[in-house]
Amino acid sequence: MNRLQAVAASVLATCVWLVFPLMAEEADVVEVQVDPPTITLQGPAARHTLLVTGKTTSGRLQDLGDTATFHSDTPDVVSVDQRGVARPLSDGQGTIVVEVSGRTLTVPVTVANSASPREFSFVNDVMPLLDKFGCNGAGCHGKAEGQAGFKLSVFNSDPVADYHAIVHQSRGRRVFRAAPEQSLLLLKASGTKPHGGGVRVPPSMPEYDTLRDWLAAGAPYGDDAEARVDRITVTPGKRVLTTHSRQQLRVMAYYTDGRIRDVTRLAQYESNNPGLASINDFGLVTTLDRPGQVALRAGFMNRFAMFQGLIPHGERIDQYPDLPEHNFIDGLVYKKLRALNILPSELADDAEYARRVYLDVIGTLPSATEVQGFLNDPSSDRRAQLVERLFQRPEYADYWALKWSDLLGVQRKALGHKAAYAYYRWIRENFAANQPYDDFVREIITAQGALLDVPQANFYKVDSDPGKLASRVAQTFLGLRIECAQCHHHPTDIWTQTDYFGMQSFFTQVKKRGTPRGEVLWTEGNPQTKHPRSGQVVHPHPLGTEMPEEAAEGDRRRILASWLSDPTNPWFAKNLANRMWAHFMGRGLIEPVDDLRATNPATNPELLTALSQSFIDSDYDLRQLIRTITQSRVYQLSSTANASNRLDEQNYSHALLRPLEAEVLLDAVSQATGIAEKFEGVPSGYRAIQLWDSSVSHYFLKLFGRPLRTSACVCERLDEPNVAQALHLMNSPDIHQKLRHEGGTLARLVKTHDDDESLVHAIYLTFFSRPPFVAEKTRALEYLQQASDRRTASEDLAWSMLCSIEFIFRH
Amino acid sequence: MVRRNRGCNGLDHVISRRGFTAGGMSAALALPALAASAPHADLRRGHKRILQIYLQGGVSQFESWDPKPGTLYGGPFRAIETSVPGMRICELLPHTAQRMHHLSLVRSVNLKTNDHGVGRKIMERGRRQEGYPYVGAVAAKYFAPTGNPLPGYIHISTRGLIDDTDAFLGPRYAQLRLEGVQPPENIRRLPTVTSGSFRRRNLFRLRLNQRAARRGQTARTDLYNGSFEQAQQLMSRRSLFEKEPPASDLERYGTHFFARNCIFARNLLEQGVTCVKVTHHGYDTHAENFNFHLEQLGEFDQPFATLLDDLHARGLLESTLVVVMSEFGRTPKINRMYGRDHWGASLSVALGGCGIKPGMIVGKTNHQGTEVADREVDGGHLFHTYFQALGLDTTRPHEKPGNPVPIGDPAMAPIDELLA
Repeated sequence: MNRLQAVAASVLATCVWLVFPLMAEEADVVEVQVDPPTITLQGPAARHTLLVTGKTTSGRLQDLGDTATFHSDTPDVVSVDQRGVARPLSDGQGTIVVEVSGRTLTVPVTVANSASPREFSFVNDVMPLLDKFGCNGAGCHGKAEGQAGFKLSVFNSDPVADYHAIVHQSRGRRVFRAAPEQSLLLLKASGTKPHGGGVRVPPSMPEYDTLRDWLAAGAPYGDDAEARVDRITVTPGKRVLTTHSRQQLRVMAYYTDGRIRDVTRLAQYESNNPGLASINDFGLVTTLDRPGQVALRAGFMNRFAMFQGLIPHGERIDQYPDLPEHNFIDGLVYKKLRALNILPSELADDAEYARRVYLDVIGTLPSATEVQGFLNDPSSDRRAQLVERLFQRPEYADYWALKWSDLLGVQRKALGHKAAYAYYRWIRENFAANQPYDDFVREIITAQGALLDVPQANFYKVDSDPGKLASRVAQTFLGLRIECAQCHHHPTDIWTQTDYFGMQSFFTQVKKRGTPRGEVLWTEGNPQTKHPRSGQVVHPHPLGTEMPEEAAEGDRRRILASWLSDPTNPWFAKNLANRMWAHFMGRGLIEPVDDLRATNPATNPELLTALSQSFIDSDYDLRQLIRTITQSRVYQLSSTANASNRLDEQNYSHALLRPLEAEVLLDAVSQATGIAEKFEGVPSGYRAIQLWDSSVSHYFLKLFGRPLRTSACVCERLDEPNVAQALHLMNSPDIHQKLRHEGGTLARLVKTHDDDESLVHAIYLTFFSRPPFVAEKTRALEYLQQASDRRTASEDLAWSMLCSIEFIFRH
Repeated sequence: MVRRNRGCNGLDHVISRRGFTAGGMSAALALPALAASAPHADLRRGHKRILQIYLQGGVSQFESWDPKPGTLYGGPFRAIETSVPGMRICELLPHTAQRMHHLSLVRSVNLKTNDHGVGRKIMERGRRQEGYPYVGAVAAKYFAPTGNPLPGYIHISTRGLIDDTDAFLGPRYAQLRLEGVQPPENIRRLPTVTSGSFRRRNLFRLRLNQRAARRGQTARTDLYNGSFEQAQQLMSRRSLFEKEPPASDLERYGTHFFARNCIFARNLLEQGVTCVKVTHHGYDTHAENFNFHLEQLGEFDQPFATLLDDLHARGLLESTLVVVMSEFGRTPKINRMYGRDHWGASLSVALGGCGIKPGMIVGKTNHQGTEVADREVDGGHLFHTYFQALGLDTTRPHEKPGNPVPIGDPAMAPIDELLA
C-alpha cells in the first residue's frame, strides 16, 4: 500500500496568517505565514518542504526562508533541517517550530507508518534519480551507444530496459543485493570506484540511502500497474520578487492514484533567463540586479511546471505618468513597465526615428538629403508617411528577400545557380507584391511541378529528408523545435515521437526526378511511417492534433498547409509576429524566436496575442504588421536610457543598441563614403543586400557575420564584435580607399563646403544621419582647424564616425 | 544574450568572434573570458601551457618512436640509443634522441580508424562524437590568463584544414590559425595614415563612443569598444609576427618553414599564449615512405630538439605540456610503392613537460608491430592525461549552460603511470 509518500493533508485550505506588530529591522513585514500550516508525513521516506512567507505593508509577499530558523519540538517524532524540510522519525503527533522576524509559529505534524518497511518502485523511486543526477543524459549513459558498456534510455523513456540494464545486464554485476554498498551501481555513482562521470551521489546524500535501501530490498521493479506521475505543481506559481533576493520553491508530484509527494529535491530546474534569476538543484531561486520577468521550469518524470517571477526595478512609482498611446501596443507595454516600476524613455527625435526606420524597414542608411528632407517635412503624420514611402522602394523587397533567403535556405552550392536564383526571385517577388503571408507559406508547402516554373519547390531540395523537412517547417513557420522528438520525447516540451513522425509523414510522398527540362517535384503513393519503437503506423497529423484513423487521400501536404494557415493555429501567426517584433525591437517577446513552448513563456503574452491577432485580422498582411509596429510609440522611443530603465533589455522601455547586419553595414559604408562596393558575379552597382547568394566570397561580409544558410536557425548570423573586425576597420585599404577616393563623399564635401561649419554639418548628416549638436560641432571644428590639411582632417573625422558605435549599431 | 558586467572594464572583458575566417585565418583572436567559476579558478595562477606538434598525414611509428629493426616490417632504418638508457627510437631522430629524458612515449595507442579526419578529431577531442572542443580550445578556456592581448590558442599551419575547434565553448576559444609566421590581416597601420592622424582619429572615435555610451551601454557595446582596444594592443605587438629571428636562432633551429614556425611557437609561448599548435605537413607517405620520412623527420628533428632545449633552458618546460602527435600511424605492411598506408591500430605519441613523468615508455606493440600488445589506450585516455597533467579535473563538467558534459570522455581515464 503506502510507499514513500508525503501526503500534504488538509493543506492550503486553511492558511493561517499570523498578524504581529512591526519589527524595527523588518519594518515592512506585517504578517508571516508558514505553508502548509499542518503536515502529515506518511511512510518512512516522506518529506515536506515548509515555505515561510511574509507579507509587507504594501501587500507584497516575500520569502523569509533565509531568516527563519526551524526546529522540532518533538525530536523523536519529526526532524527538520535549516531549509525547512521535515522528515519523519517515529509515528505520532509532533510540532515544528518556526522562528522568524521575532515571532514563533508552530506547525503540527502527524507522522504515520514511519516504521513500516519502504515498498520500492523502480519507476517512482529509482528512475527520478537517474534523471536528477544526469546518469541518463545524452552525454553519458543515455547516448545511443551507452557509456562504458552501460546504456540507459535517454530521459527515462524506457523503464523496463533501464531496469534490465541495471539489474540483469553484464551478468548482474551492477547490483549486489547482499551487500548493497558494494553494488557497482553505488560504487560508481558515489565515486568510490573510478567513474568517468565523477562523483554523482556521495554517501552523505539521502538519495544514496534511497538507492542503497532499494538494493537491500532486493532491487525490485515494483508493480507494473502502479501509479505514475500525473502532473506536478510548483508553489508558489507566481511571485513578485525583488532584485538580489531569494525564493524557495516547492514541487509536488500528483500520482494517478491520488498520492501527493514532495519532490522538490528530485525535480530538475532551469531558468529561461539566467541573467535575471538562477535556480539551484534544490529549487532555490536567486535574483540578480536586473529587472524583468523570468520563468523557471521544474521538471520531474517528464512532467513540467513553471514558476514565474516578476522582478521590478527599485521602488514603486506612485505617480506613474499618463503616457500617450499611438496604438494597442503601447498600452500593453506600459502596463508591463508600470508593474516593473520602469519608465519608458522619451520619444526619439525625427532624425533618430528616420535612421532607425530606414535601417529596419529597408536595411539601408538614409542619405543626407533624405534625412534633411524628412527633417524639413512639416506634415504631422510624416513618420507614418515615411514608412509608406519606404514600402515602395526596391530596397524593401531586397532586404526582406535577404532575410527570408537566410531562413528558407537559398544556397547556390546546394541548389545550383539557376535554381537558387529562381528561388530567390520568387521570394523577392512575394515581398515586392506584399503577398499575404499565409499564401506565401501555403505556396511553399504545397509546391509541385517543374522546379523552374515553381521555384519555391526548392524548399524541398534544401532538405529532402522528410524528418528534416518536418523539423524545418516547424522551426521556420511555427517557431517550434521538434527534432529532439525524432529519437525520444522532447525533454522540455510536450512533443513525443508520435508527434514528430506525424509531421514527418506529411513529406514522405514527395518525389523528385531530373528531366531534360530540369527537375520535377510531385507527390505519390500512400507510404506509411512506423513508430520506431512501437512499430505502429503513424498517420500524418499536425502537431497537437488527434491522429486520424487512416491517412488522407492525395497530397497530404495540403492538409498541413491549411492547418498551418488556419486562424486558430496556435503558433503560426504568433511565430511570425514574434519574429517581426524581434526584428524591429531587437528582442523577441519569446527568445529564442524559434523556441516557442509552454515552458518558455512570452515576456508579455497579452502583447504577443494582440499582435498576432492583428496580423490575422489583416489577412496576414506583412506591411500592415510593419505599420502597426513602427507606428507604436514604443517603437519610436529613444535609445537613451533613464535611471529606471538602464538595466532593462527585456521590456521595450527604450530602443536597444544592436549591430547592423554585415550586408547592411557594408552598404551603409559604401553609401556614406559614396563609393560602391564591387561583388563577384553581379553587375556593378549591386548592393550587398541584393546579393541573393550568400556564398559570394567577400572578406568584409564574412568577417561581419554573414550566415552560410545551412540551417533554419537565426543563430547562424553571428554578430559578436571581434578584433579582426576592428583591425579591418582601422587598417584595411578597402575602407581607407573609400574615404580617400577622389570621387567619394569627402572629396566632394570638402570641395563644395567652403566654411568648416557647413562641412561638419554635412559630414554629420552623411555618417550619423543627423545634424551635430553644438558641443559636437565645436569639437569637430577644433579638429579641422588644428589640422594642416582640411581634406585629411575630414577623412579622419569621417573615419572616427564610421568606426563609432553610433554608426555600427542600430539605435 | 550577452551579459554585461558593470563592475570593471578591464581587458578581460574583451572577446571576439569567428573573425579571420576570410583571409586564411580561421579563428577568433580572443582574450580569455572572465575568470571561470570556482573549480577551475585556481588553475590560472601558475600559467600552464601546451605545445602541440602535429605531424599531419600520419607519421610512421616504425620510423619514429617505435622502431622494429630487423623484423619483417621494420624497414631499412636502425634504432638508436637515446638519453634514456634502454629507450631506443629511430635513427631518423638523432637530435631528439638526445632529449628523450624530457619526454615519455606511449606506444600503444589504438584509434580504431584509418580516416584522417576521424583520427585527428579523436586525438584532439578525446572523443569519437562530434561537437566537442579541441585540446587547444579547452586549454584556452581553462588556463588562459586574463589581460593577455594575445589569443589563447594559436595554430601555426601552412595549409587549410577545417576544424571546429571551439564547439560549444564559443568562438573566443577557437584557434587563431596563422599561415606560418604571418601576422593577422590588417595588423599594420596604413602608410598613408600618419601616426599623428591615427592617434587623433582614434581619440576622436573614443569621444564619439563616450557620447554614445551615455545613451545606454550594453554588453555588446562594451565588447565592441574592447575589440578596438585589443586590436591596438595587437598592433603594438606586431614585431612578434614580423621581426626576423636573430641569426643565432636560425643557426640553431634551421631556416626552413618548420624551423621558423618552431621559433615563432617558442616566442608565442613566452608571450603567454596558452596553447600553441604547430602543424608539420606531409607525412601521408603512401609511396616512398622511407625517403619521405628521411626528409620529413630530418626537417622535424633539429628544430624540435632545439625547441625543447629552449623551453627547458627558460624554465618553461615545467609549466608547458609538450605533445607530438598524428592522426594515426602507418601500416606495418610496406606496399608496392615502398609506401606505408593509413594505420590507426597501433601508433605512438611522445609527450613531456608539465605534469608528465619523463623517460617512461607506456605500452608496447608486438614483435612485428602489427598490434598493441600491452596497455592499449585511446585518444580519450591521452586527452584525460594531458589535462590531468596540467591539473584540470577532467571528470568535472564543462562550464556549459544547459546540458552539462564531462570535460573528458567519462568512458576513459588518464594514463596514471605517466602523471608526475
